[in-house]
Amino acid sequence: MGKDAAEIRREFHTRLNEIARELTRKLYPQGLPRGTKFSELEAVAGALGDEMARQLIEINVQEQADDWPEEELGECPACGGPARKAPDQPRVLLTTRGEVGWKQRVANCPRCRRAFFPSESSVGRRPFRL
Amino acid sequence: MGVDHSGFSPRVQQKIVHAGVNSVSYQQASRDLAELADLSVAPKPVERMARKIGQERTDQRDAAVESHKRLPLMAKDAVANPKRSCPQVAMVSVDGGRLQIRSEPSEPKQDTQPKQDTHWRESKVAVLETYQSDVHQADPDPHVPQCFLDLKRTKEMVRGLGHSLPVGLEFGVEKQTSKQDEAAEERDKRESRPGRPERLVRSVLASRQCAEEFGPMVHQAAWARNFYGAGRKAFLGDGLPVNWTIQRRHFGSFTPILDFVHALSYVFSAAFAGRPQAEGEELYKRWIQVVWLGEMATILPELEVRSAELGSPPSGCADSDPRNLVFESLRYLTNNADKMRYEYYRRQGLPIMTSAVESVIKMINRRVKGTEKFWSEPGAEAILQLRADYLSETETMSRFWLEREAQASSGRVYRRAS
Repeated sequence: MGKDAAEIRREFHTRLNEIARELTRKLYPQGLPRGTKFSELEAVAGALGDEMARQLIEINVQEQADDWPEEELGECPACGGPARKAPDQPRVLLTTRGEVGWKQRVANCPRCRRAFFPSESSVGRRPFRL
Repeated sequence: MGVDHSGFSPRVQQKIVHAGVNSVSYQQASRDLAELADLSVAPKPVERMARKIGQERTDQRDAAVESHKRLPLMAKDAVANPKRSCPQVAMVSVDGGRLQIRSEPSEPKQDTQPKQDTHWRESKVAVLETYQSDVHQADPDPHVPQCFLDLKRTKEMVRGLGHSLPVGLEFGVEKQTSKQDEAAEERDKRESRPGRPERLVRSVLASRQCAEEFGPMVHQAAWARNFYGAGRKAFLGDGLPVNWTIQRRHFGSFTPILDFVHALSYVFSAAFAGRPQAEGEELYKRWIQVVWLGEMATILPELEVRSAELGSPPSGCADSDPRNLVFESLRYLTNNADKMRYEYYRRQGLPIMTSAVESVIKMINRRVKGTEKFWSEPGAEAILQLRADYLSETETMSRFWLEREAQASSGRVYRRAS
């Protein structure tokens, strides 16, 4: 487990402030147009925040998926037999900040003719047909 | 990383299940998610997710009950966790709710089943509450509350319980004398009933299981909350024999208490049965004060005499027939007389009404009950479990989500060497 989210927010406050100022300059080079509704500004800011969060999740999930050793295929969750390498599979997940996608290592059980993600432990783990 | 195959992140799953269980329907949950969380999730995935998580929770519950059943007899009714403090006052209350169950296509049609109302089935609900209260030397509230002397309101309350009433009973707004006004005003000024125990933490159980299976569930839940080590313990019911069976089997050390309002409903109908209304009013006010004091020995002989005067109800007589009303009241109050020592319960700082469980049933009904709502058996069990979990103040769901994610992320995590 890493740091607490509130702690990270404090730590990156200055850096995020710089990014926010930079984005504001890009978005509104002449300053916020007169008559802009607060809800419009809130929607734009929210969308940018969401996209930043979404990319942050995606980068980290992909990195962790890539870190899984290719040779570590584990055992078939159905029969417990040895597995062999299969092509990586794309995965998509709906998060509170939008969809994130990454590619994940896949193992295949020749006996069951089923594939599974060797990096996942028991909860929700189930083999699937390719 | 604690990600399953649902296609939703753990935070999104939590929001979906929260909406699916706490909104009035899966359709409404889908709309709430879009409006409140900017999440586009169709009703069907909301239903699937709620079913899945509900099943996981019922599996956990059943495993805990099985594990509790295997404990030695003495340990079952002992303090579960000596490191945690035991409640000062523990209260368990059991009642039943209703919901419609869709019949399975393979289910053979039974000619013996009644034709109408065939989809309505009972659910079991239990509320476990802790209280803080003092023990009193004398009854802290010896006068029956004014609200129970307001005959118009009391009649509506009795009718609301589904109790039969004598035909033609009508009450206008009562004219009060200035003395009565003063007394009523004085009582209204009270923030709450003197000596009334202060509620602390509530947990809820709800299931379609029969009483035989539900009793051990409530037992385990009470045990897990250290209820068996409480200073004072009460088990409240509405007089239904099956509830007292659960009390005898699983809560023998708890004081059984009949809900005062249910007792009142029988006293009310018996007092007015076959009498002029004015006479009934006087009698009811006298009787209900006696019941409030728990002096059942005073009114049971009066009821016996009255029942003998009217005679036994013939078979097939109307529910509102005075003979039936008095006979049923006498039977009910006689059977439950030992659980109506209200003066003693108030001195002990114990609750005397089942309003807690009835209020919870209303909250559960808001989700599960409706003429247009039909559940499958697994769907009903899942939604009842989750509705109960969300109504519990013991942070059941927060712990569940944390443990679920921790379990899912317990695999080895590899980081590149920098």
